[in-house]
Order: sequence, then C-alpha cells, then structure tokens
Amino acid sequence: MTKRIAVLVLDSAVLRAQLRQWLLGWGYDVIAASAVTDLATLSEAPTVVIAELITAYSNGFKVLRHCAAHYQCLQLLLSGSGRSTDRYWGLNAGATDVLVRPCTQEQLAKALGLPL
Amino acid sequence: MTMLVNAGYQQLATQLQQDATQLVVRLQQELRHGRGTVNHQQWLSAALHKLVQSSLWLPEHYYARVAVTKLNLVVPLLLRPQSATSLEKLLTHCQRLLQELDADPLATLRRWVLATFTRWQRERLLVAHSAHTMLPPCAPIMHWLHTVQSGTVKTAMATAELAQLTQLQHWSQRWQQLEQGSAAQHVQLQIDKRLDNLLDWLRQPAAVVEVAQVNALAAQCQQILTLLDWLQECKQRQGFAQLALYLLAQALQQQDIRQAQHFPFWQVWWSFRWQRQTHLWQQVTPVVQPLSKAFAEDWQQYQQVLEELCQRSPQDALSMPSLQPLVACHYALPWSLACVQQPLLSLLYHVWYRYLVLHSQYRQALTPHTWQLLQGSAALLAPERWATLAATAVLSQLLALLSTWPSVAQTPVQSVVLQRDGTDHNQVKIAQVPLLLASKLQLLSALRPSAFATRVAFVAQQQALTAELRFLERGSAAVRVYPIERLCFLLLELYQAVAQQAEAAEFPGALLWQVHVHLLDLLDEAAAWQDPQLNSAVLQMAQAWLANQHSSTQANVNTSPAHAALFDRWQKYVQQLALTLELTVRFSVDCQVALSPVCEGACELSVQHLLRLILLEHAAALELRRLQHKPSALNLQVSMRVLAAGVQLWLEDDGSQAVPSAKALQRLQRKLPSEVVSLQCMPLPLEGRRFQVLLSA
Repeated sequence: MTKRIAVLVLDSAVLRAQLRQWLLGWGYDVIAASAVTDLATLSEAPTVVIAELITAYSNGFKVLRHCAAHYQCLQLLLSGSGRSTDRYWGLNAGATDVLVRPCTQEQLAKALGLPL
Repeated sequence: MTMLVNAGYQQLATQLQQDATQLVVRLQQELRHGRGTVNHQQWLSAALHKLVQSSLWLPEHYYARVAVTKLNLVVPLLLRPQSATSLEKLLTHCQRLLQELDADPLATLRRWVLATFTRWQRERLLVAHSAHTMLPPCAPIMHWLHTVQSGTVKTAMATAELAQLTQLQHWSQRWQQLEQGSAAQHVQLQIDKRLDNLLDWLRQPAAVVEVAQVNALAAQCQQILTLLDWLQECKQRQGFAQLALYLLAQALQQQDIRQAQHFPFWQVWWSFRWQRQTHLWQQVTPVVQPLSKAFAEDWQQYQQVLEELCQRSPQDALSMPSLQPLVACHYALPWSLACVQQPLLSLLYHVWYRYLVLHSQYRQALTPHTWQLLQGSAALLAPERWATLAATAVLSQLLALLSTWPSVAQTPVQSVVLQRDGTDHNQVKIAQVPLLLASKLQLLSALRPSAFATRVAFVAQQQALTAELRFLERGSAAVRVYPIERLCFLLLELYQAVAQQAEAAEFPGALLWQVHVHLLDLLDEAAAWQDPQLNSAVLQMAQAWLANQHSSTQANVNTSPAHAALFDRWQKYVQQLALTLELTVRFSVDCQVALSPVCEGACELSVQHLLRLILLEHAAALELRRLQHKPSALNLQVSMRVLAAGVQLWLEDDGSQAVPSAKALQRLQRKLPSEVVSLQCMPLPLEGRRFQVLLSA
C-alpha cells in the first residue's frame, strides 16, 4: 500500500489537532508546516496539502502556488470567511477545492475523494 | 397460551419487585450499621444473585428485569469500602438510576439515597442536575445536541452521549405534557410569550442598527433575563431555566430568524448570556480535551497579540502598526472556539471579526481614533469582562463602539470606473471589486515561465495580458492596494518598452517573469487580507532596464520620423515635471502629420503650456484622487490632425472632468502662441477631459 502524506500548513493549533485526528484515522501520515520554506524541505512528495488562507508567515494562496509548481497532489484551501473571492482566487492559485470552516469530517472526506 | 405466558411473566415480575424491595431494605439497614459484616455481605450477594437469575426468565423489555440489572450494578459497589473517588462514581450510578426509575419498587432506593447521603454530598453532586425535580443535566446534553446536529463530532461521539440525547427527547416530551394550571405550565407559557415577542422583534426589517433598536433588543432580552433569573433563584426551577435556554436556542435556529438583520446582535447578547449561565469553560468534555489543550495554545497567542495591541499608543497616522497579526489571530479564533464546544462564544468573535475584515477589505486608513476603538473592543472581548459586566451592558458597550467604527456606507465614493474603453464594468461598486478582480484575472494567474521564454511566446499573450494589467491597475487603486497599482504601472511600461524593441534586441524574459512572479505574490497577499510589500530589488532591476531602453528608443511615441525630436522634447518635459511634482504619468503621442517649422514651434509651446496646467492640477488633486479610489497614474495623450482650417490638436487626460470656465480658457489662450485660433475644453463620457486647440496653418 502506498504511503499517503498529508501536509498541514495551518497556524491554529486547534485546527491542526482536529484535522490531524481525522487524517490519521484515514491512514495518512501527517506533517505540519508553517510556511512555503518548510514545504521545500519535504523528503517525499505529499498526497494532499491543506492550507489555511491566512497564516502568520505566509498565506494559503502562496502555498498552493508553490505546490502546483512542484507537486502533483490534492490541494485544499481552508477559507474562514467563505467569500467568493477566496474561492475564485484559490482555484486560480491551483486549489483542487476550497473548504469553508468549520468544515465537517464528511466534507473533508469528500474533498479528499474518500468513501463516506 | 399467550395470555398464560403473560400472566406468568407478570407473576414473576411481581415476585421480583417484592424481592428487590426486601433487598433494598436490607441494604439500607446494612449501611446504617457500618457497612455490615462479612456474613451480611455474603447474604446480600447471594440474594442479589438469585434476583438476577430470576429476572433472566423475563423478556428483555420488562421493567423489572431492567431494574434488577441496574441494581446488580450498584449493590456490589455499595458493599465495598468506599474511597472518595469511588463514592463519586457510586453516586453517579445512583443518580443515573434515579433518573430512570420513578416507580415502585425501586423508588425505595431513591428514598434511600436521599436518606443515606448528607445534604452536602447530594448538593455537591446533584445540584446541577436538580435532584428534586429529577430533571437530567441539561447543559452537557445541550452541547452534545449541538455537535450532533452540526455533525462535527458525530463519529467521535460515544454511545453515552447518544443515550443522553434520548433522555433529552424524553424530557422534552414531559415538558409538552405538563398538567393544566400547574406552576410548570405557567412557566412554560411565560417563556413562550416572551419568545414570541423576541422572535417578532428579530424578524423586523432593519436597514441600519440604531441606538433605539439596540435599546429595543435590550428590553426584549431583559424580559427573558428576568424570567431566567426567576427560574434560577430556586433549585426546583433550575431545570426549567435550562430548558428555557434550550427552547430559546432551538427557536433561534429557524431559517428566517438566522437571516434576519438583527440576528448578529442577538448572537452577541446570547453568547454572553450563555457563557455566564453555564460556565462552559469548566465543562470541557473528555472528547474535546485534546483540542482544549490545543486551544490553550491558540488562546495564549491571541492574548499576546491583544496585550501588544492594548499597550501600544501610536500618536499619529504615520506610526500606526499593522493590523495583520490581529486579523490573522481572529481569522482562526472563531473556528477554534467552535471546536472546543463554544459555539456561541465563537459567534461573538465572528461578529467582531467581520468588522476587522471589512476594515482590511477596504484598506481603510488606521487613525488614532480607530486605534482607540480597536483597543476598546479588544478590552470588551477579554474574558475577564464576561464575569464582571451584565450581558446587556456588554452588548450596549460593544454596539456603541461598533457604531462609531468607520463604516463603508459612510464613504462618499461608492463606485468606481474600472474600464474606460469597454462596455462592461463601467461603474462598479467598490465592494464588488475584489470579486471582479479574482474572477477576471485568469491569464495573469495562469501564466507559466514558458510564456516569457521567447519573444514570440510573449507577444502572443501580450495584448490580453496588457488588458488584464490595466484592469488590475484601476482595480487595485479602487481598493487602495497601492503597491500593486505601482507594480502594474511598471509592468505596463516594461511591456510597452519590449514591444518597441527591435527584433534583434535581447528579450528580457527572465526579468519579465521575475516581475510577474512578484506581482502574483502581492496579489496573493492582498487576497489574503495581508499588506503587500514591494520588493525594492525587483523594482530597481526593472527600472534600470527601462532607463536603459528609454535612452535608446523613444517610448510611447507613434509619430512620423520627421517630428521625432519634437515628441522627444515633450516626453522629456513631461518626465521632468512628473519628477518634480512626484507624479506617475503615462504619456503618449499619436501623430502622423507633417508640420511646417512655424506650426511645429506653436504646437510645442501650446502643448507644453497645457501639459504644465494639467500636471499642476493633478498634483494638487492627487490626495482627492486617492480618496475617490482612482489610480494615481495620470494618462496623457496628444493627437494631431490636419484640417482645412489649420492643425487640430487634442490633449486628453483622465485626471479630472473639471472644465475651466470660459474666462479661464480665454486667459489660458492669451498665454499660448498667436497661431492658436481657438481653445476649447470638454469632459469625456466616463472620466477625464479633452483640450482642443486649433492652430492656423
């Protein structure tokens, strides 16, 4: 079985803990990153990257753009406000899907293409 | 046959009830006399074993069998020496048993609990559960109900919580079946009446929130508060208070209420009330404990930012710090609060966050006044305040602060012109600009390095790219993201210079890609509410290349070679003036006519006069232009045509639509060369104006 790696680029510890719990339950190896520079040091290509729109040291769009240029993987953007602007610009930046917080486990599973 | 079997079951059940009663009486005696001897304990165990064995003959749904099973769980615990922890555990069992059993014979056991344990012990463990009325604990159930309904932790939920939900349903049914004229029914009617009033009020349309409306809401809330306080006064009524809160929460889940304009303000009030009512900070359940540790981390970070905010006291607009850390913290906080079972407090922070986002969205200038507002609101949102202020007082203070927050609705300019040449987006509301930019800038975002690899690849995209850049330039000015506007101007200059390069000249693909990537970075930051920062190294590199190109070619000039020197002089004149006045000017000339030397001299002087007038006016009105959400770059275009009457000269600028008066034009004409026959000025359809000069041949 191939190893599945999920990279979380999130500032919030709660958000990290919540998503980590779900992803571990689905058999992913979870790596936390705080900025684009952390992504450059990954030893293996990620299966999915989940980025929060606003972070202290970067932003979700930059992360997605970096991933789109370097990896073939699912890219999810977490938007807090759910604005249409976030969705349009997120998809422009390379996002596979844009989820609005608080997203449920079902929504995340659906975005990851996992059976519900 | 069936009747016989049922009769047998009934007989057995009756026997079991009698045995259970005897057992409980014996148990009571044992515990009153010092936990009993070994023999007595053996007797109790044997009796219990016999009881359980007998109950197994009964069908599972028989009450007596269920009751005996419960008793079998409790009694062994009673027989063991009791530590403080096990006592609590035992009491929990007893309490659950009490909630489920309200009929003979095990009502004896209920009486026994009341008689055996001291009042202090009962109060310590049962006070929140309203032992007298036998109502189940409402607050924890409410949390789980909320999480189940929202579906956030459905899979993580244990069976115990689902059982609690079942209890709540049962309890709600009891509420619906209250006796006519009873005190409980009276309470229910009071709650219903006040709820109706509140919901009617919430449904009222409201364009803006005014102080009078806030007071009306406070009055409605106060009525319910009074009722809740009355319910809270007495332990017998506490269960009803919890139920009233529950009903209130349910009523406010209605779709039309949630969409009502008053709803956010209700949420603020409700959040405070809820927090003070149930002290939820201490009631984090085991399922969310890992998250609550993580939340402590987030909360600490938030507190740090808040403290820094409150400690700083900038004196003027120039020393204002960035709001970015606060926005970043607030971005995650409502969601974190929701995760740790604080849904209503989460809403409170969300309401406040909306104001921060609006501020960021419109890039409103932070002033000492708004800074004070920020500090005041931050202080109101500090947890210490929740315990010291009444809910309505907090709400009033918060709304009073928010009502003085610079509103977008108060800005004089509500719409801007994004495209001058197209038919779409002539007048766009400023609030819609970010969405328009995000949806229209498809090419800018999709370009890859290959598009800048060769001149051919670049030229193929240039026209579309230039159109998007012009759109972005005006859009970024409209939403006041000046670094992007500046970079757009620079990129357009670069593209123009590249277009005028000779085919054999070296194509600056790497530079173009570098500036393009930098523009995307800035766009990403702006889209994420951050403050875009220009990279000075990239700017200097691009400007150096442009300066080098200008020295070898004539930029922005579409003219006959004969008058190249004249147009070059105009170009230099504009550059010099722009440099002196610190303006950004885009100057272009469209002229394919042949002029006599005399006419050329008159043209040069006339255009220079007009250019000076326009640039001076523009410099004076630059601040106003920014306030009007217009681009700071001024576009100037000179065109010339030869007519029968002479040479017609047009000078267009998009800086202003103000047309000088006839007298002012006459004064201006007197300063122009004597060859000028007429001077007119007219406004252009969307924005800008045109000076029209006729020179004699």
